[in-house]
Amino acid sequence: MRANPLQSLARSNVAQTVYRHVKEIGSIRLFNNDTDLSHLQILYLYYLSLYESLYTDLSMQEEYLTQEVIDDEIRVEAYLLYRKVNRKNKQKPNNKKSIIDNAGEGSLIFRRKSK
Amino acid sequence: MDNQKKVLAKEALQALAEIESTTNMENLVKDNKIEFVVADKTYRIRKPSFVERQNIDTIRRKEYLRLMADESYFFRKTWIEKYLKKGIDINAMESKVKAFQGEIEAVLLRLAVAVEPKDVELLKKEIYSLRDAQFSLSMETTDLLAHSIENQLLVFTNSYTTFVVLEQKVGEDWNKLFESYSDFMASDSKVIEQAFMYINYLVYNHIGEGK
Repeated sequence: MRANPLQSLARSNVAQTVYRHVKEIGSIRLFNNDTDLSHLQILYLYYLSLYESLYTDLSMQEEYLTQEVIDDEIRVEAYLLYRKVNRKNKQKPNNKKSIIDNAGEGSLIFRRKSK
Repeated sequence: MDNQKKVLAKEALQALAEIESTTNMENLVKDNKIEFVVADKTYRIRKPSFVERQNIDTIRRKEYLRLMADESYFFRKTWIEKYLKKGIDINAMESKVKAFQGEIEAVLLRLAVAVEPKDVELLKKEIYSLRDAQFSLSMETTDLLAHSIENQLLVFTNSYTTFVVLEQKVGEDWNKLFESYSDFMASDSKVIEQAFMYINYLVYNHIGEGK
């Protein structure tokens, strides 16, 4: 199956490096236009952030993710689905608990100012 | 040339093709304008401005009213009912397309945890085969509904947008290529073919927004 050139571009080291610098240094521009992005540019931004998250997962040594997987679009799709399902499953039993935990400490409490 | 060299040459050619398409993509993505050359002349399409988009929207609304008034045009829903009377169940076909997606995702999840190269290849083949079947069925329903008001409006909007944003480079200036939409429609050039191909890169499809 033919590789998606936009995805290949977003995955490349050069694109990922530029993307990281664009996020860190405000003066570097990714596109000639700053506003009114084209459909392709929006898709490109999506792929850039997607591959950034995959490289982060790779550095965290997430299970079933290797460079070989990142280089293969269909395996990337498989990994992303696996990650989504896995995260959903992990969240389910803890959902109630985390809400309760959050209510105890660290949550914002709004109080009326005493006169 | 022995077999190994042939394989290497093929791999090098594939890599080159990939670099070329990636480089081309880099060019397409750098701006919200796309330049292309046909018969030594330079053309471009660009993302329509806010005012142009408002104008396109007005024209689209008028076209929608025209299609509504024409008794030979039907909505998607009516076409589906008509096909059902002829024994073609489009709703069932669309459900099957969705069911394919479920099957594909089940195989994708198996692929995600597969480690052995042999298993990986087998699962990938299975996914490609399911995708082909899904795509064929999806294309079949699209073809059957090609004459629906929704689809006609989408085609019209894409054509009209292309007409509005298609320009030719003359010296240092960019001039509109066609004076009127009827001139644009009457023309059957490679320039329009190319412009049509690129317009979807710039503008998101307007499907379902026609009302």
